[in-house]
Amino acid sequence: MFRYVKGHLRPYIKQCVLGPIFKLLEAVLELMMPILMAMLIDNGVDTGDTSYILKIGGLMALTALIGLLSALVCQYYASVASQGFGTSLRSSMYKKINSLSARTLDKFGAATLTNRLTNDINQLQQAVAMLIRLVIRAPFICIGSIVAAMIIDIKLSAITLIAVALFAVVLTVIIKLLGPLYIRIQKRLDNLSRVINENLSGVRVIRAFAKTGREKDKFKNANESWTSDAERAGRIAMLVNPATMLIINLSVTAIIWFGGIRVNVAGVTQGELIAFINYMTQVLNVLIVISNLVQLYTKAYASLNRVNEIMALPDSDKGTADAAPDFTAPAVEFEHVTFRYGDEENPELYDVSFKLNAGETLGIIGGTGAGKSTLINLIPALYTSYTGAVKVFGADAKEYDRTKLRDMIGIVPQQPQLFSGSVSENIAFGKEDIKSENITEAIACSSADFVYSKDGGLDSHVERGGRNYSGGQKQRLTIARAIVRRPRILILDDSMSALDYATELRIRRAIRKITKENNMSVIMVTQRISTVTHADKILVLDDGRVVGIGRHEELMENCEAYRDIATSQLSQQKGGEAV
Amino acid sequence: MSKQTVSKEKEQERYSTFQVLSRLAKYTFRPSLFVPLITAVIISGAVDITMPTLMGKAIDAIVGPGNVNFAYVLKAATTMLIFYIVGAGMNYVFNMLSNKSANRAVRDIRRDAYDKLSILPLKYYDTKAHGDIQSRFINDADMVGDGLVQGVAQLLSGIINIVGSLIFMLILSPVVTLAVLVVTSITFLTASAITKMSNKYFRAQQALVGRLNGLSEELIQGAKTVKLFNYEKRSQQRFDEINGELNITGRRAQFAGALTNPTTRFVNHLAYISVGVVGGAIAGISAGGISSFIVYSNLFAKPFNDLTSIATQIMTAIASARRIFEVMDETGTEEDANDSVEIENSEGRVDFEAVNFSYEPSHPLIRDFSLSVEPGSTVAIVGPTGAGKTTIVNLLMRFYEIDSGAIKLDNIDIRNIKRESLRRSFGMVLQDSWLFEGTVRENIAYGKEDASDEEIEAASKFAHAHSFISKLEKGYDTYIGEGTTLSHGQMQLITIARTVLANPPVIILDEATSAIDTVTERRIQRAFEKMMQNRTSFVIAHRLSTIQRADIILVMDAGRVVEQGKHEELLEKKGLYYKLYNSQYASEDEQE
Repeated sequence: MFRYVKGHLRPYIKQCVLGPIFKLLEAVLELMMPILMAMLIDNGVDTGDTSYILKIGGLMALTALIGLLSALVCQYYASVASQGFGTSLRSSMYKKINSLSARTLDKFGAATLTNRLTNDINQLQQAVAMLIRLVIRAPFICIGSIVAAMIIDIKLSAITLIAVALFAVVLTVIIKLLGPLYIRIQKRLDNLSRVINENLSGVRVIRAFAKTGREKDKFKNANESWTSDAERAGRIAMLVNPATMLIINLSVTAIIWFGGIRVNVAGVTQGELIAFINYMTQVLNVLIVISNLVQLYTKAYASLNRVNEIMALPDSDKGTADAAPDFTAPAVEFEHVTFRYGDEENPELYDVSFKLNAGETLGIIGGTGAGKSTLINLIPALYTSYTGAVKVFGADAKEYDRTKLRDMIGIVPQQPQLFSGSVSENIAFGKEDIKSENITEAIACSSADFVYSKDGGLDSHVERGGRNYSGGQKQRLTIARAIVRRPRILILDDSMSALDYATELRIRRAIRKITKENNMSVIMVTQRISTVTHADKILVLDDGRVVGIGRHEELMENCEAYRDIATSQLSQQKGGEAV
Repeated sequence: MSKQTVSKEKEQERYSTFQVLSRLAKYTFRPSLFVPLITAVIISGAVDITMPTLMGKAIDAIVGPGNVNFAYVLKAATTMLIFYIVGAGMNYVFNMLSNKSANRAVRDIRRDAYDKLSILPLKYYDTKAHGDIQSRFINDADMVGDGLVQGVAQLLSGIINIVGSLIFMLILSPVVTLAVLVVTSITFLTASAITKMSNKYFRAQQALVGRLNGLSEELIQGAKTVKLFNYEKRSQQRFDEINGELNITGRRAQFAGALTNPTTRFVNHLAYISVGVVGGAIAGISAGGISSFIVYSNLFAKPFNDLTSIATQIMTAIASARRIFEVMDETGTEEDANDSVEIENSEGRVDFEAVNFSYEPSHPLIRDFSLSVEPGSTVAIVGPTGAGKTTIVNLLMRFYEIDSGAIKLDNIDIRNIKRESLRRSFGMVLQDSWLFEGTVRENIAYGKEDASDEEIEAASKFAHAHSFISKLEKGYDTYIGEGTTLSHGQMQLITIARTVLANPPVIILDEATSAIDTVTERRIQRAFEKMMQNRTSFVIAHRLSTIQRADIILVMDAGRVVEQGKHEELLEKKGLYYKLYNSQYASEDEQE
């Protein structure tokens, strides 16, 4: 259970051992305080011996000072160890996430992974800090105080034990009751959050349908149900304080009554009675700390499980061998490929076979959901759980070192995703050695010259996910990002949908020029016939199956699905000459 | 970054701490809760304060073997028993009521902020970061709640404890009280110095945590892109850079934060010792007296020890409250003038008369634009990416107000029409399909909640959505939300069905089919054409084939209408339209 985390704590063994020892020292010193006070009262106050009072008083001050210093040493060790542990664990978990296969990433989802990387690790980090600071100290003070109380008077200490037991029962009941309530409150809050989010993202539709009133009701319901659950939880949670106080105070009352009896028969002295009351209070104070610790460690335990689950995953995004490309072989070749993302019955791709020769252009066309994007995701081995074979330059895609394979491929994904940083960092993404003239050329090629009109030019800031750029701008920058790498295979996945025809045409011409000059192979995924009419080969996909393959003229002749798409787009132009 | 600090300073100027507090007080203090709350806190405080004296006296009655005044001890113990039970009960009432009033306050603050949000103009939604607004509603409101529950409750009982225990200590022994006062003020000074320092580190740490979370979220969301471009190494570097910084800052923040407890504990020990020493050696008070004094000095010092954490909590609550009040005090509302009219079954005549408009005064966009749209005709708006085609929609729907001129529907200035009824006259299908969490049926019936199942099905068939909906596992009762995977195209078909069902007199299609493949599009196109018959319609598209038959085509560029006319007229002009039109069919071999 600690398999994946203990390594990160190992460098801090010294802190983990010495920290609690210092804390223990403080605890021991703290336990001495009531005893010293009892001596001060019994031997000093009751006899009026001023010098004795001062002597004991000085000793107590010294004890307190040493206690303070040891506590500080412990806190220092705790912060070094816990922060260092958290940092190291976070770094290695991020590394693990990077090595997961796309399939695993899909399965978990970005939100969960981010949450585990941040919140769960923070929880563990806090648990380590508390381990050093309190886990040793709290039980020690608790047991120590009980033992001290027993030494003073074994009979009176029965009251202490009863109080502790009572407290434990009350606390367990309250925590048990609260657990499910808190989960519900969190759900209510998530719901509230969702309603707000819908209102923000859907404001145009809401206003257009004049639905402000209905949304208001929805919000009101969400708000009310949160309030009523929060109040219900409050009614229980607020019991903790008065209940604890009541237990402490009633035991003190009991100690005074039974203590009176014990003093009367010379079982204890008056000073010892006061010390006893002090120990009693200390025990219960510590119990409150322990109850917080129990809650903290319940949470930390859940976090640990979530972290372990990720850390235990295999580094699946790794090639099975280190194949070498043969650049005279076909750039991409599919042999009877059938693929499913998960366990669903209908495959995303079914028995797909085709060949793209080096230096040629392949068009892939089909309706939404035909499997076009899925198909190209198999080329850089993002997904590998298919049957059949995908070959890149003569070798099985799975057998390449992944870095080497992906270095040969430049993809422009359908969803244009940029990352925070500068424009030039985004274009040179993942390649450190790119010259600035190459970036300039890539920008020209992708018609992304709008970057020059920005204040910072190439150094302009890109916000998280590229949200300060429009869809069309993002598409052009992602095209530049693929071109600048001069890949052997350039893949464009319907990546000009947000661009007008004039801009698209300009970019297509530039791409054609640069790919011819550099002997690149190109795959163009699209829904627009005009994009693929001049491809060397066109693959027509329908519902995951290849329903046609050939040149534009051949397909117009003998592929019904292709003709269908073509007529839908070309029928209205130029008297239908293409038909 | 600098921008943020500037706006923060502005925020500070906008509301003083006192203003925020008094506004919060209005939400928190309602007499029905507050009178019992104050009564309860006074009673429970009184018990806390009087009992130690009684306890001290009882201890003094227990002097030694054979010298115990049992009658007195019994009386004292019984009194303590009764009072402690009453005190605990009152303490519970107090805690519960303060929790209740805080929750109610949070609820009302959220409600008022939401009421404001729902009448704010679109400009607010378009210019503010949505995550930020959301976090004001959720996190900030929570912070206000916590600050109120814990901060204010502790403050109240703290004040009572301080005043009460001070009085009793003075009665017991003024000299020892002085000693306690000196020690307590030392505690207070040290604690606030430590808190000040740790707050500085804590803020730095929070900023780094925010950065690290943001980066992780971004990189993990883009994990596939990271893989495709071999960006793993660099991304790890970026992650480790911030992570490393966080290690150092976090260590400092944690250590500084952890200083408070041992230090106050130390000073408390000093108070404890000085009670014993000063009480025993100088003031000469009894053993029972010392015992009660120890309790009082703890009661007295505790609020001071907690003061810094209470202050931090209240300050956080104030900062959060400020952020919510900011939403409430946004200027500009979408409230209709009193004399505005309702329109029903509009005829669909739309007139633009010398309209001027700009999003920002420094960039005038639409200048002196006039256009008459006859009922039932089709207006197409075309232009290159980013030409501002959606602006016309924003103005028609009154999402934004024009600067001068007039837009009229059925010859009535739209500013004189109630917004809800104006907007209900328009049916809108946008490029980004928006569905809310709920069933497919609920989503389609959004514009007509009393629609029958037959009507819903008919609308879906009209929009070519019926066949895929019936194939869904639960058909029309399929829940759309997290986990459901409808394609963008399918979601778009549902939004089209939604508009069909609402059956508005005027329709607006803003790139409505750009996410749909052309074969399906062609089918929907027929549905649209059926819808557009006898209805005024505005169509925005970059696929020009869909708009050639429009009665008027507006060609926009850089936010302005540069050409207008019919398809053939515009082609003859050989202007921008001609260029756009030709480029869509050209392949890369042809010369421009």
